Amino acid sequence: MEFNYMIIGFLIIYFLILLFTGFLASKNATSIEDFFLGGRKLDAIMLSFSVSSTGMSGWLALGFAGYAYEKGFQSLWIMVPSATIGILLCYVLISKRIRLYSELTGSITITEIIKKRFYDDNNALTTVFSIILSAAAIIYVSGQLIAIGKLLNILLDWNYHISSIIAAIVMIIYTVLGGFTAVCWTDFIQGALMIAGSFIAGSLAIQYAGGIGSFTQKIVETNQVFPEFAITPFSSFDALIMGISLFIGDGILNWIGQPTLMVRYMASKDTKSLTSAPLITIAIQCILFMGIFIAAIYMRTQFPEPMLLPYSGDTETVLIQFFITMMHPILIGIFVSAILAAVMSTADSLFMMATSVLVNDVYNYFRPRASQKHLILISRLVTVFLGIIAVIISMNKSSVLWSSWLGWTTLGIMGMPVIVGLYWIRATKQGAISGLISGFTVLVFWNIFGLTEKLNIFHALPSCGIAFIVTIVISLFTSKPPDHIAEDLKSIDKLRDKKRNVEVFEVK
Amino acid sequence: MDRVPIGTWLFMLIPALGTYIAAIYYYVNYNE
Repeated sequence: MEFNYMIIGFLIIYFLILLFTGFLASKNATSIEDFFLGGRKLDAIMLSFSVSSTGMSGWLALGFAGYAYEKGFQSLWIMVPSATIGILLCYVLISKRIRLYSELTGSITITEIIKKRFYDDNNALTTVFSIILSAAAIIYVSGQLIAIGKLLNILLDWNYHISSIIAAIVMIIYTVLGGFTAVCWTDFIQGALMIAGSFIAGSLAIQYAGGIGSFTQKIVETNQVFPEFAITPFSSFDALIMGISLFIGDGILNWIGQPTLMVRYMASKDTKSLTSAPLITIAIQCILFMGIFIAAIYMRTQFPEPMLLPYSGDTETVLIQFFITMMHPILIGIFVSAILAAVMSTADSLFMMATSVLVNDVYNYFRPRASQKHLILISRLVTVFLGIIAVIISMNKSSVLWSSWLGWTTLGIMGMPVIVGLYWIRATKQGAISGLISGFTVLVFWNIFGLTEKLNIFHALPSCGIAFIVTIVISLFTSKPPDHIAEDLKSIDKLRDKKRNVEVFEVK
Repeated sequence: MDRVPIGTWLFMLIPALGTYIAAIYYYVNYNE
């Protein structure tokens, strides 16, 4: 079919560009810091694209689109904070502080920061952190592979399982080749594609609907027949409770606690770029969310029940079906690349994250004299291994939304002790370990017993909240951290006050 | 309801504008 060949052609070109970028970047990765932090060279624009690409993923293109299709304006509780307040708080509260602390202590991974901040001499906290982080990364990446499987399955009628495996192979190859620099460059390409795709999708949806006035009229008519498709985020008391827990839990706590994003702040060129980046990132996020939201809502007004959807009753594929139904094959190729971009950029970042944890913090702990070359080799092997596990999990074709949310919230929990530790001198190692374990335990039980549906409270709020509170409470009951921790934190405050706009440290 | 309530639009607009203004404030004050 000509249609299929055009799309496949597009995908091949897209993948070749990614692989070429990975290859180019690999030439520059000569040290372990280059491999993991790209030598700290991200400017505000690169950083913004990287943060958005990493944060959004297939969760946006498939999961969020499906949620917006089903729940209508109830999905604003997710979209509004994730596009605005959550992002701003990430930069204002976390980015500069972690960037300064990482350079001050010479840390290149999040676990190294944890190790130094919480004086983890016996590696107990690092081990707990590493295990939970690797598990989170694998769950999240498997969610991304499910997204690609569903995408290629519906678009090209390819076998779901083979599609996921092909995607995993491409992802592994270019992550293995270039490390962090490759990931950030491909993040940039992918971010640009996502913005273009999302913007055009939203604009076309409004145009097809006959303008904004006609579109809102159709939305109201759909709501009158299907009341669960809300036209306001305040449709009922239950919706309000769920909404508030999504707003705080997913929109704020999950964002500020993301270790994958913390690594990006650490890789920024200087602290100045961290103050201009919020402006760019918020703009990117607004375009991305609005485009997808409008397209998904439009699909609901056109096909008000899932079984009426032209290609599949799986609501997570509404956006893909929007493209197929509405567009020219070349545009479909671009949009599919945009969705793949969203999926791949997050998955590769998480691979990098989990790899860095396992190699730098676990492997290197047992083999401290390993050479840089040896560490890079081991990093590549670990990426391949993690990829294989993620592929195996993705073979069970489940929900992209909930797989991603589970992985994302687990990652969000990891950031809670880090945030407490960066702001509060009194935070102790025992507090951090207890916070991590209790937060993760709450998350697991919340999902096993289906409490999100029963209590109408999204799992991120209790699990991140508990992690945060337990870290503080246990810290109060344990002995104070050593004096040099307090000195480090105080010196960050001094640096921030004195040299706000000056590049504080020399860029390596 | 026969139209999308005004509160829905405000729920989108106010945080977006508020956050952007705050981001500009942050940029200006920390890049003097």
